[in-house]
Amino acid sequence: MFPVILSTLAMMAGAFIIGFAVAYLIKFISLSLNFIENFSLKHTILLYKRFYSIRKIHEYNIQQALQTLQSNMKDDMLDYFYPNKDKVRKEMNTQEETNIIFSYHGNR
Amino acid sequence: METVDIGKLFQGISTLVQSDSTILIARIGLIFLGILLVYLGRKGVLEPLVMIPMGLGMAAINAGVLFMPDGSQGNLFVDPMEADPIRLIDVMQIDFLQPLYTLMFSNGLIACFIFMGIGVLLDVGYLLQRPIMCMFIALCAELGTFLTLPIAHAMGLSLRDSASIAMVGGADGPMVLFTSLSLSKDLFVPITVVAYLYLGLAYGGYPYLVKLMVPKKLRAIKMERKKKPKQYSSGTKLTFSVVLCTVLCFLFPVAAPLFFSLFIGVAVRESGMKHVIDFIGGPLLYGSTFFLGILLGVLCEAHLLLDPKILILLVLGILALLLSGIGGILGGYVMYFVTKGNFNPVIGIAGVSCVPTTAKVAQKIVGKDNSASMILPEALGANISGVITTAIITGIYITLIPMIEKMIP
Repeated sequence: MFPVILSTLAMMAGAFIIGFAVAYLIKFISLSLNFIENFSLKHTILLYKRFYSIRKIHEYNIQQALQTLQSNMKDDMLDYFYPNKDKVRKEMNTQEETNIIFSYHGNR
Repeated sequence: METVDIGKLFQGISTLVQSDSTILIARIGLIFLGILLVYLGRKGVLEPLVMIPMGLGMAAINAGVLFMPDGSQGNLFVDPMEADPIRLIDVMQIDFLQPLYTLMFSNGLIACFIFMGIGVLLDVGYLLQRPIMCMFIALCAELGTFLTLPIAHAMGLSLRDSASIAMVGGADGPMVLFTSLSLSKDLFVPITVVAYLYLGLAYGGYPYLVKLMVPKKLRAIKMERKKKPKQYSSGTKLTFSVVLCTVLCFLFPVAAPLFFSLFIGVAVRESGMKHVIDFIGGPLLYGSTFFLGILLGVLCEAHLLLDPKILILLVLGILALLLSGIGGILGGYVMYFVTKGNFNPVIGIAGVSCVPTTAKVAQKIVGKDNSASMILPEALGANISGVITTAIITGIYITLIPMIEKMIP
């Protein structure tokens, strides 16, 4: 009788382990679906472009950055990325940079 | 002039008179029990959908006994003990419910139809919200499935037969069918009869167990949800059901037909196929439940139930379900203490995976004590988890019991 009780207890423990593993699997599927549901391709592309543009500014390649933005985006999107572009212009005080920015506006 | 044998004319009465006293008492008792079930179903004490056809079937089968051509006593409804394929074809041409029993009941098709219907009615969002809690309750509600195994073995059954009857504690008819088919073919029919009989009666019995174990004050607890439950879109639920069904079938092929049936119902619901939803949730579900009730009734025949083997199975079956109910409620109490009183322990009974009966029982009891308390979402989550845990244990038993049997003399 003792071996039967022992094996029953072992099977019980096994069922608990597998059961909780399945529960965490359900939790994982639930979280993954939640992430996928909230994931927006458009948003991700915009974020990437923003990051890409900022990197260009840090490299002081303003013209290229603005051209990239100009070619890739509509004008109203520029306002979204650079709501403070006038402030940015003030901060970039070298003649070269100013020329670049003015030439951009001139082209526009 | 030849005399008319009145006994042959009214064979129901003559078979009763010619039976031994045990069968006579059992037949009369079962006829009255059947009538009582119809009455209780009509009154709403028991589930009318199952109990009315079951009660009438029980009364009719025990009344309609006649002398067969070979002189033995029998009926023209069904012969559940017939297993020989050649004889089975003969029986199917004579007994009017035999095709239904052989081709729909004993292979679990009727249960799968019911699962499809339940899937259409089910919102998997509840399971998505709190899977760990649901699974914990369901695992606790498998207490009877485990404890009945050594008890049955101590009562003289083999390990295989003990495991098959212990599965009744999982309260999942098709799972019991499959376990007994795999482990103990000789007891397949009686174990199935016992399992379905008790599952039909769970709706009437469990409320008394809950009232016995949970005081009114705790039954009336209204659970406060600190944050608003997340609402999932139908697309998410559909994806969840497809992914989970595939994963569970992959992990537990033993319960794949059931998982498939349940999740195809969910998929149909979340896809918004209105006509199919109406068909599965209406005629298919209610038709299958109705015929299940009739078959359960006609299986309660005195000769069958008084088989000595069945008597021991009847005792073990009710013990398994009782222990599972107790385990579920104890799991509910654990959650009550873990959440510092913000959990209704009655939900524990829903861990016994008699989908959706036990969830309905839990809500009905709580609703009586506090009409403002709504526990059905949590109860249904525990209910679905119960199916998963029963499938896990079925897989464990079918795989390990033959191995253990070889190791233990």
